[in-house]
Amino acid sequence: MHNFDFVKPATIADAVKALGADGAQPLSGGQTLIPTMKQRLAAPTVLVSLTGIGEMKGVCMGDGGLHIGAATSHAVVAQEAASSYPALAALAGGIGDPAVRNKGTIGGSLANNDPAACYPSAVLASGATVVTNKRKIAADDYFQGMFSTALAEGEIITSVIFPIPQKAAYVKFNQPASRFALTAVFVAKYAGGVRVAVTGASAGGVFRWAEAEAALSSNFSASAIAGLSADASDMIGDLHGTQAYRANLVKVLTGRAVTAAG
Amino acid sequence: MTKIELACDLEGNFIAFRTETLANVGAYLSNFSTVTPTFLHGTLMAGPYKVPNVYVNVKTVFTNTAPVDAYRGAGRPEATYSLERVVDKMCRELGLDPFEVRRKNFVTTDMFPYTTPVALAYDTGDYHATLDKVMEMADVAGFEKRRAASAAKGKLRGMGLSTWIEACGIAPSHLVGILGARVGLYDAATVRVNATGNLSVMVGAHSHGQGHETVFAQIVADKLGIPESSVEIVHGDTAKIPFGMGSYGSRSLAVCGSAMSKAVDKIIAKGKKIAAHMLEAAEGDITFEDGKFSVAGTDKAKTFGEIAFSAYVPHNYPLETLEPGLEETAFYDPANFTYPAGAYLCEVEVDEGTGKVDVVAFHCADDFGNIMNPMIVEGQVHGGVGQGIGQALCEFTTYDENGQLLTGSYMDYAMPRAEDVPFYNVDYSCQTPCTHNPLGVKGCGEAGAIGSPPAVVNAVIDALQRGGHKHVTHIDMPVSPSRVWTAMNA
Amino acid sequence: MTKVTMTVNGKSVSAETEGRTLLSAYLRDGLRLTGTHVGCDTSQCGACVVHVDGKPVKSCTVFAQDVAGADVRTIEGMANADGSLGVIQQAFQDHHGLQCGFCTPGMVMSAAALLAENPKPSEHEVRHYLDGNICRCTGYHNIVKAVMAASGQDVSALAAE
Repeated sequence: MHNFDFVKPATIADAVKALGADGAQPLSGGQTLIPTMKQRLAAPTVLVSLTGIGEMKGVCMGDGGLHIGAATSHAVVAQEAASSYPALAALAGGIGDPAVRNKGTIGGSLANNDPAACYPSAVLASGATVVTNKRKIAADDYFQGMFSTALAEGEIITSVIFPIPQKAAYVKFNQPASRFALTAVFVAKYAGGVRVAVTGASAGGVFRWAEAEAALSSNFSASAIAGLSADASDMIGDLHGTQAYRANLVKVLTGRAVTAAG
Repeated sequence: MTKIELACDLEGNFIAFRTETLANVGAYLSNFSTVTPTFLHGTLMAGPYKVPNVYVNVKTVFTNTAPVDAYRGAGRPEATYSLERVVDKMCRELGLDPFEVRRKNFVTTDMFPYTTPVALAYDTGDYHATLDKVMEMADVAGFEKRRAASAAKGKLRGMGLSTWIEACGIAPSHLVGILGARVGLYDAATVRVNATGNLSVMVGAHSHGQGHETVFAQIVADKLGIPESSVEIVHGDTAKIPFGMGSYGSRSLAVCGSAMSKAVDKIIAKGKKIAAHMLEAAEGDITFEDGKFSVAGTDKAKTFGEIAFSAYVPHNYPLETLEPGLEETAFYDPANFTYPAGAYLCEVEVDEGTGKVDVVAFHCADDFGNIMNPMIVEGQVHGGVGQGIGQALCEFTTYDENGQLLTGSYMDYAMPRAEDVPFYNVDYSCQTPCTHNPLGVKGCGEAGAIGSPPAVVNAVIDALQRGGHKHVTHIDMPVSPSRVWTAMNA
Repeated sequence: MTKVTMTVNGKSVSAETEGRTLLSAYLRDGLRLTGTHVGCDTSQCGACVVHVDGKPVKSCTVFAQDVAGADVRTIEGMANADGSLGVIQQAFQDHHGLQCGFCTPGMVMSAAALLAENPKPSEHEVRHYLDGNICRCTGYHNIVKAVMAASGQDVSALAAE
């Protein structure tokens, strides 16, 4: 890994200032960025740690739903969101492994937007709001393709607000090596309708399965999607699964998520 | 890539196995790259069966990929896999019971020593015993009830059998010399008794977790009637040890352990000479038992410790015939390979929606000959089976069409985790001691990895067949969820 | 170079670091505590697991400067004060829960974290918690047994030997 200067600000304002330096990048849990830097696929000259910022940590109910600080670890979300939003807590508790969950953060996951990451499906299915140091971004506007988001240069996610659904569940099928999602589906039912967000399956990253949403909004049961199929030509095909296989998983996991949601 | 054909009569008696293999050995030669698919694979293609005809043709092929070398089992997992998969397929096609087919084709106990059509002379074994044992362990009769319980949970359930044999305790130098090797594969040990009566044993094998320091010390201590804590095993420092051939091919106990046993025998022989001198008796009248050298029929005796001390401070030895000191070196070159064998039964559950396979039970009945340390033997079988389950279900080294390695890290190379395997049910009570080494041991380090892959794959095919997917007769390893689902939906 | 101070196994320690110095390197090279092992490039294998402020983390995926001032525990800190093996370590020895020993420090540290939050885990809970710790030698059998034994549960009935 190339060397860099490490700074750990205590406030959002200090972090934004530090990120103004040439070659500066934010570091949250580091569970993705550090391996990337080991491969020299990233080589910032300044790393600005965000996990020393108290105002970016914590889980609490507030205006609009459950507020989760962007620098909150998966382990903390799994614990503290369990009573307010159990499906979200379960998702957090299934990311990586215990050691990874003590460092990885929701902000890091969303800023990176890995096409097989878990949190993007929760954010998109919940119609959550991504709050940055500059603005609020609706979930539907936030994800812009594999590793690509609406964030501007130097913009930091500070928190995420999740509206609490009537029912929800997340069903993840592990890629057996990385334990990322080979395909995973988050289903959330709100008064206004059902949202179905799929991760791991598409080269474009997380997406909403519109046909399933329409069917489930009028009949929230696994049988409602029995006649549907996801378009295999949009799916990733790799050594872990063919396109047809991922398309199959989209359907199977959506049905299982609906059943699990109750 | 292997194509194997099985010829048999309609009752399932094997007539012939024909194997054609193209073995990718990578870009460059390495130690065992060409030995593994040829000598270590071809010579096992009779399995534990009395099949009269075996043909094996192996071509090793250089490709622009990473060079290969011996991996746990080195050729014997491949042989077992081919045999047990084609036998399983034959049973299914002919509607024959897989257990009965094995029984009627096994070499029987009255046929040993048995020379196969592919040159190996099996010294001893009892393949019926391990098959009976594993069936008892696995409660085969209760399978249908378990299958129904799995079905109630929405899962298919299958059972897969693998009856395996291997050749290890590598290797008899004269045999491998005939095959073209220019190096002998003996091993060596030096036993040095110190004046205080404790021992340093320098061995040519090297332990990297197999517990040699424990079991070698145990063997020496047992033979000499002294506490294990008096025995220090020295290994791995070429400045200190006699020249040995190392640890691989399930040979450490069978070959190096035998050398060590011979060296201890030499120590005892010299000890008798010293005792005879000290007790003023004829050497032929000295017996050694429970750590004591005694004059037969009397109560005149010296302990091992007294003999050891004397050896280092003698003042009146008849030096023409008895030198001071108590240190002996021995070499052991195996007369033959050793032939551990066994029977494995695996049960899996398959999720039809995702194709995911879970190994829910794994039973092993192995014949390793004499057992020196049960805990270590179990550990070796556990690790070998875990490794074989990984090979069967998720591990995969693959390249793209440009020769770029796609599985270069654990992000893509899937190792089995604790969640992916069950507790293993392991038995080694069926013991036919090796007839040609001093310890009667057969070696156990690779067995688990040899017998397990076809047991797993046979179980998956069984589950799918029972679930109505009659068109699925084979899935190549790794039997990943994607491959299972694709096969079911083909 | 920046001097980083933290508490390791109850003692205050310092070593010079660069920004890129990983906690694993700080422990192994800076403090000569080589019990923490580095097994892979991709933060998968778990051989490097240590406790930082009471929580298990992969020390190969944490920068030393990021945990300045933290309370760190490594495998070297798991023995009793008189040098005898700690409960989990002793269970690993008693039940042959290690062969080559490379994964063992990470396994013990993960097990310790598990038992702190779940004192009597089931077999499934142990296997699940060890998801981030890869072992090749043992097939996990005796590791799971050792962890359950360390928790005071009776393991004699476990399908096995």
